[in-house]
Amino acid sequence: MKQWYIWLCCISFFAAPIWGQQLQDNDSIGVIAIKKEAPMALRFGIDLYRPIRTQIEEDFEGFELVGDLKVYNDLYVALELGNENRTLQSEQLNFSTKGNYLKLGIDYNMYDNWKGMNNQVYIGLRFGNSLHQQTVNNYTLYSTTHFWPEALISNSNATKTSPDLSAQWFEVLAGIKVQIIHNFYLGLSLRLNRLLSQKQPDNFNNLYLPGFNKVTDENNFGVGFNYTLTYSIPFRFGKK
Amino acid sequence: MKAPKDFLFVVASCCLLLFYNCEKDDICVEGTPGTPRLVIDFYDFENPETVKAPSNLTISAVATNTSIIAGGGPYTLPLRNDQEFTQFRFTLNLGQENENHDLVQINYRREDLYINRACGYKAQYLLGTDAVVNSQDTDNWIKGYSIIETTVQDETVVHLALLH
Repeated sequence: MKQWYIWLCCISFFAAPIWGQQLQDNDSIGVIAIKKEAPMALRFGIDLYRPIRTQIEEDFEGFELVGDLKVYNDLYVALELGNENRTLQSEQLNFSTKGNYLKLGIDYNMYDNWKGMNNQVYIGLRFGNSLHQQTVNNYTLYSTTHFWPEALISNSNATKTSPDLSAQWFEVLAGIKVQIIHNFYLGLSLRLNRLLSQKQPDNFNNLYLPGFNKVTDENNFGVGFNYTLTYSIPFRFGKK
Repeated sequence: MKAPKDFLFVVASCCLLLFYNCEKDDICVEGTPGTPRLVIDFYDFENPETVKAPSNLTISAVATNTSIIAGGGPYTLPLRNDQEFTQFRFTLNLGQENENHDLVQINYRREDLYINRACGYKAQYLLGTDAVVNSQDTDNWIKGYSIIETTVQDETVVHLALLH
């Protein structure tokens, strides 16, 4: 029960887990204890941050499904599937991005669990792909002289929707997953993204990508995170 | 889990958390050319190739009635972006007995071009066959016009010639 409280404390504050003191004992016991063949487990769930933000923020609509499958002892194949519809004001420009994304990759669990527990401290890689459209809503023109009052342009050759755009990127992530009650897990992951390629809209740029978040002009890096609630379905092969 | 791995994970997480709200300052670099103004000059009606500076000229925008600096040489006129025409009053000898003003309307189409995230869009103007319309008056000193550049992209060249 004590472990459970520690873990609950950690995930609430995003602080460094205080597992230092447990380690020495675990190592010595490990020699004697038989490492059980871990059962295959399929875990799926949703990101909690995005639906909450959809309710709170007017210009945001998003949803993300997550899943992972244990394929080996500490190795998982992971997947995230999401949808985003976001309107942003960037300097003098107001635009909307709408689209879906898919991220596929692997997670490696670095944490040695005590017997009967199934928590994770993991690192992972993802390959992400998005299919989206960009719409320029309105903007004010950039000018070095200011004779006439600034006009908000909402109807011009540039205020249009560019459909059928896509982007590909690579993600490196670190995260934790904590078992809260039987088969339910809460997880948090932080991600660093690197843009690989993109299809740019006509007379505009991909200033924001669903799944990747803000794209800067100078470099191709971005960051993201998710906060998930997942349910695990364990299944064993062979005899019970 | 080994202690060094522990520490590495903590450091990595903190870094990623910090990055999340870190935004590089997107500044539109000073000197980036923006929306250009129309550059006009005055030529001789009899000799359209020859520059003929009008004497004692004042240019003012009709809508605001503020004057545009008129010194000599090519004049830069700022065009309106909320409509497809701008009206100017070209006055010779303002305030004197032989004052003569022409009400000229410049017509154009606008096309906006994306620069980058920080600067946004700038305008380009396209001059067509109806580019200059001189309102009916008894004594127009501006007799005609000639389009030198159909696209107003920058302020390095003269786009329009007014003949008098």
